[in-house]
Amino acid sequence: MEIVFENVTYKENTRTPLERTYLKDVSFSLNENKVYAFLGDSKSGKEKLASLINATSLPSKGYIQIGDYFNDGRHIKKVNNLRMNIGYVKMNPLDFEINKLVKDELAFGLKYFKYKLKKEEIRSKEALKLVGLPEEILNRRVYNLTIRERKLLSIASSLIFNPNIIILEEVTAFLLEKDKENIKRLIRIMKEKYGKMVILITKDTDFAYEVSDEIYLVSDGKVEKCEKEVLLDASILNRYNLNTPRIVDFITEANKKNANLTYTPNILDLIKEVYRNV
Amino acid sequence: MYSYFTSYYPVKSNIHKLNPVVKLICLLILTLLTFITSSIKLEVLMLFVTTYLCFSSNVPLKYYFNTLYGLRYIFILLIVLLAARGLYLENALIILIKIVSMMLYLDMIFYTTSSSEIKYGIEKVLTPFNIFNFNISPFINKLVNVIVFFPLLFSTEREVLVNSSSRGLDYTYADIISRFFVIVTSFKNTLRLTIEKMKKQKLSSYLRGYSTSKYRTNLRTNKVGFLDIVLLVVHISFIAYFIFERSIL
Repeated sequence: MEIVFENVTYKENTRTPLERTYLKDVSFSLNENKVYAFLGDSKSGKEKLASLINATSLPSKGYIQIGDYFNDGRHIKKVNNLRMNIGYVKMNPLDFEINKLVKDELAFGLKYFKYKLKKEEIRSKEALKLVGLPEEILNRRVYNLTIRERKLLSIASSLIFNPNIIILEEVTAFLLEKDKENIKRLIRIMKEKYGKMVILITKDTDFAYEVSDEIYLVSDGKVEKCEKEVLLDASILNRYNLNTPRIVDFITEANKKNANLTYTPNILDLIKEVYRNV
Repeated sequence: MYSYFTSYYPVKSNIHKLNPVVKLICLLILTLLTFITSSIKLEVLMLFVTTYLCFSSNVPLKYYFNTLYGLRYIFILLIVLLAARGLYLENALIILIKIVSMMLYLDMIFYTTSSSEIKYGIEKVLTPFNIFNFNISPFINKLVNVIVFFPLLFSTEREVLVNSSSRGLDYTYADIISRFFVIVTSFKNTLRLTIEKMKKQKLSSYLRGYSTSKYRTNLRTNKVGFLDIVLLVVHISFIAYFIFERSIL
């Protein structure tokens, strides 16, 4: 499924004292089943990309093409056929959840996208297992879960209807290290085994460096496509108010002391590299 | 995106700078006069002042019009009811002006006064009744909760509708009947989420030592200034005009 942004401008509260432009004349296209990372500082406008792809917001100018659908401010016929192909996970799970019980929260998408409800419980259990939550929480109240569990639940609720595009907004927030590892594994499976497109919207350069295939830097409503090597350049990242990945910092420091390590995206490759060269 | 009724509109204006206690006293005067007067001159005068205040608040006028537009069916129903009762045009006009004037004034208060300022204002206006052993503090708390509840309900409903849309229960592109169905379906969840948020707010207020029976010196509010006195004088002059008109009659 191809996503094309064509001269998209997005404003809120137009012609009022609170008018704000989030995206300015943005054009890019995502057309392969890869992991795309949109990196940018808070309020750079990157979070608005997700709501425009999901057609929950309308562009002020330009259009967004998602497969056969166009989000150009006009009425979209059978919008649910578009949205069932997009799983959108928000940063804060409290902004995402609607239902009282965990099982209702998981089944919400299935119910309204008109999936066969006979398999509802099996799919709910599978979705929970996928994100590393126990089946026992199915009958618990969402309100009584910890913030980490709620975050994982929001990921499960978006994956349960098997979307082709998965948008993860600050996916590592509120999660433990073991959850992050699980999410990385999940993203790899989604991309490699099931051929899905994953869009990461994040400030977490460590996570993006490890899992992403293409990098887009977002600042002041402008989106710029970059090579992955941009994550090795502290001066560029500082301009966007981003940190260099810790693993890059480590290798750069080690190379200053003649360690001669090549830049690797994950810790296991780095260990191998250290064994080989040091 | 900002678009809900009864929410604070964060811009700078002379009306935003007014003291919340003065604003509430003025609201009380206006409400009282609206109920007891039947003079069209006084009603038009009050509507003129209210419109001027709305205009000076720097809040886009479309928000005020939106509120009135939302009440269009009530206006139509009212006109039909008044016509059925055989009321004179002048009396019907007075009733309509009264409603418009009250709605605009309430809008102006909510758009220009933050919820903490409203809390402060209500406490200051009502706490003197505590000395008569009325134990007014629980009532103040309840009143403040009711006032804070509606903006929270609207913002929560907005969140719920967007999240429901992304998971199959569409609101944005739905027709009017489907929209009604979506609102009814999601209302139970909206209400539950709003009550949960209210409970959290209550707990955090409690943990930070909030009490209506205590005098709070750390709350930053606008001091009474020249404009406050002018506004108060204008409202008192309405009372004076009302008494003057009554005495003539």
